[in-house]
Amino acid sequence: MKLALTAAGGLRIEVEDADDWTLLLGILHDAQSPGFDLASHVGGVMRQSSDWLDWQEFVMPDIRDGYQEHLKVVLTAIESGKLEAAGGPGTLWITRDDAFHWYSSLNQARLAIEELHHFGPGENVDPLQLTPTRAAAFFRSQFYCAIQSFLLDQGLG
Amino acid sequence: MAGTETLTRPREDTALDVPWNVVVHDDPVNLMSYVTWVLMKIFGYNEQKATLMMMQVHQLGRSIVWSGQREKAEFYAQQLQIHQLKTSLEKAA
Repeated sequence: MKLALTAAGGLRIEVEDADDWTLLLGILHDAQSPGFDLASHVGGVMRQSSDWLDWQEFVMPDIRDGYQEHLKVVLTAIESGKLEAAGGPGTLWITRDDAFHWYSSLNQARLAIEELHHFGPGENVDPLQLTPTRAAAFFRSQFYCAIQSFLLDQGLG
Repeated sequence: MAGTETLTRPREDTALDVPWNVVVHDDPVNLMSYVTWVLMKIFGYNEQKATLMMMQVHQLGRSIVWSGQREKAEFYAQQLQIHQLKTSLEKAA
C-alpha cells in the first residue's frame, strides 16, 4: 500500500492487493471492538458532575450516532473502492470533504486499540516483546496514526 | 365573609449566573496538532491560543478551554466529545 498527498488537499491510497483491502477494513473492525464504548471514554470524566445521568441519557446517544456516521462514510468508501477494483489493486481517494470522517474513524480505531492493549506512548513499545496478536494491533495502530498525520498535514479539510 | 382577595407580593431574586468551565483532559492517543486543530475549529481561536491550551492539556493534564453560560458550555462539551477529546464541565470557582 502506498499513500500520497494530492494537490487538492486530500490523500490517495494505492491499494496493491487483497490484503491491503483487509487492512483498511480493519479500521472499522478495530473502531467497533466489543467492550469499548468511545462515548463513555471521552465523557467518563463527567462522572463527578451532577449532570452525569442526563448527559448519559440525552447527549451520549447523539455522540455515538456521530461516531457511527463517520464510520459509515469510511466503510462506504472502502467497500466501493474494493468493489471497483474487484478486490485487487486499486486507488482510494480521501477528499478534503471526507478527511475528518477518516481522521475520526482512525482515531476511534486507535483509541479502541489503546483501551484494549494499553500500549501507552508508542516509542516505549518493543514489538518483539509482544504476543503476535498484540504486535499486530500495535502495528495497525502505528499505521492508522501515520494516515492521521498525513491528514493533519493536509489541514484536515 | 365578603369577597376574599388574594394579594400577591412580587419578590425579586437576583442571582448572578455562575459561569461554567469547559475542561479538556489529556488523552495520550490524541495527536497534539489534532487537539490544536479542534480548538481552532470549534472556538475559532487563533493558532497561538489553541496551541497554548493544547500544551496545558499535554503538560498539566487539563485545560479550561472556555467559560460562560451553561447551555453554551454543554454545547461545546458535546462538540469536543464528538471530536473525541475527553471533556468535562464544572462550575467556575
